[in-house]
Amino acid sequence: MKAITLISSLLVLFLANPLWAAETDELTQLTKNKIDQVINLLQKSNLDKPTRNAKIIEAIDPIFDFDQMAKLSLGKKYWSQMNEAQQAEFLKLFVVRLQESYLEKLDLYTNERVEVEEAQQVKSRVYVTTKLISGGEAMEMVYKFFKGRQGWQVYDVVILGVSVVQTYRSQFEGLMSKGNAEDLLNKMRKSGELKIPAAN
Amino acid sequence: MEVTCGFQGQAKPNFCSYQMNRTAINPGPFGSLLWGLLVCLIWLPVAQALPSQPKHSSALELTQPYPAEPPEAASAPSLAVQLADFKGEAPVYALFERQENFIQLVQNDDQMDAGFSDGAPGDGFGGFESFEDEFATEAAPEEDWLDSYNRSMTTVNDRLYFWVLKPVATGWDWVMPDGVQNSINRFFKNIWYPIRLVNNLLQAEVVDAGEETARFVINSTVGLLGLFDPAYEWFGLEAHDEDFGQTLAVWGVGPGPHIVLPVLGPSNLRDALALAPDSFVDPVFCNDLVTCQDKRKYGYGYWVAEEINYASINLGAYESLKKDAFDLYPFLRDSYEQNRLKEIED
Repeated sequence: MKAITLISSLLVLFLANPLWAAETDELTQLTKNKIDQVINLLQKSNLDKPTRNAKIIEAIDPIFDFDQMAKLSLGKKYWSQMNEAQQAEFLKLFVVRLQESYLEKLDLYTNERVEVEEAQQVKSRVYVTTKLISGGEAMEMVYKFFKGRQGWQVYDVVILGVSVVQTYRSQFEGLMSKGNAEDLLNKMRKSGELKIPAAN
Repeated sequence: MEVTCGFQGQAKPNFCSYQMNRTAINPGPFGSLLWGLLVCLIWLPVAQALPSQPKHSSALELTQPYPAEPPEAASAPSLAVQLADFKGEAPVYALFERQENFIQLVQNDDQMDAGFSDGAPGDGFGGFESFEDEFATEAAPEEDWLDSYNRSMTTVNDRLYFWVLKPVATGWDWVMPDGVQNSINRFFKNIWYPIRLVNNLLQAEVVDAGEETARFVINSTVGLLGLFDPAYEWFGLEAHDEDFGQTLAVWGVGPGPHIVLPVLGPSNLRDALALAPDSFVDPVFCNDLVTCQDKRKYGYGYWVAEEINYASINLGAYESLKKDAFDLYPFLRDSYEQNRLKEIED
């Protein structure tokens, strides 16, 4: 059995490798295109904000797996503690939140230059590093792709070393270890209304 | 060097030696810089010679600050769950999972979903399998002893931002053109060159230290006292922000417990202690290694001005960041610690 595992994984590696170069290039290009698309939309002053935001989400939706981000942020342990209705509500609330947070960050964009670096393969993932250049400083943002059923999609974004999924994960861990799924959902429903959470 | 030993030849050895020390240790306005360089020259070979601390080794260790979750198999999930995971798409996979040598298989698992594009768990339960080892599941490092203090201080700092800093910075932003704000920001960054130089050297980043020096020379002259950044615009020279906290990390010092400092915000024991050595080479605070008195009262003024100006450039950034938080303190703590790890690696 071990031998089969070894052989099959070697085979997989062997077969997969030639594909990689093409795929990482493709992902670099894809990320470039998407960023250009988003920047174009941001620079179009004739669009009102809701339309613009809807267009941005429409543009990035195919390369972001928001559901996967949501699930990873909660973690398997707590995801499996939720019943189906709770899972569905969690996904709905969290995905909206992720998208809003992303759009919010884009509002801070003021015509900085964005550079997209060569994609990097890390095990079965591909990381695309982008740099927002403003005044001699480069703000690094890494888009992490995995290959799911809908092809390559982003499952985490790392901004200046801070992983979006990881920070949510720690918060959820804290909340879930003290309360239950219903408490968490309550908090999410409320913070959806409040927009900005209180300090404690 | 004139040494006066008391009046009329009376022996006052203490007084004598004090005078001598003062003269020797206070060599002038660039004293701190010279002392910094001297310290570097001593430290550079030492830091490089330390065999047990290869450069960046600590950074590597630190990339996994929290205990990684044990492999899924350790908790032996039921076969039913596993089958549900894979929904029969990759039966080979599920069979392998029953093997005792799970850790090896988990690694293979990663390579396998590279190969079978549609076998990669994209949704449903299976979506977790190959990800669990990528993210730490422990919420807090166990040594978060200061949790309740940190939470209160986070609230205090949060109020300070909204009640004091933000209104002042908003006013400043309203009065000042954006170009001026950016220039002021560059000016302050430029005069903190000694801190970056010393720490680049202490981390044996000689090339970066050279780049920083070139930046300082170009920006202080052609860039009109640092108000502009021709070093980057024309020559592509990049800043290499390093502080003593990062230096300590490169030398192998761990972060210690997280501490939220009043006004300054998130920090940890290592970085908080490292503020003092940095202030010795901070030309705003101190031009004299021993007393640091001369400039201290202005130093805080400069520092406050810099903070207000910085906040005025980044109005809305904290608010936007805050929206990612369900629970502000752990959110800021994790963001800080992760960001520091990244800075240490660079």
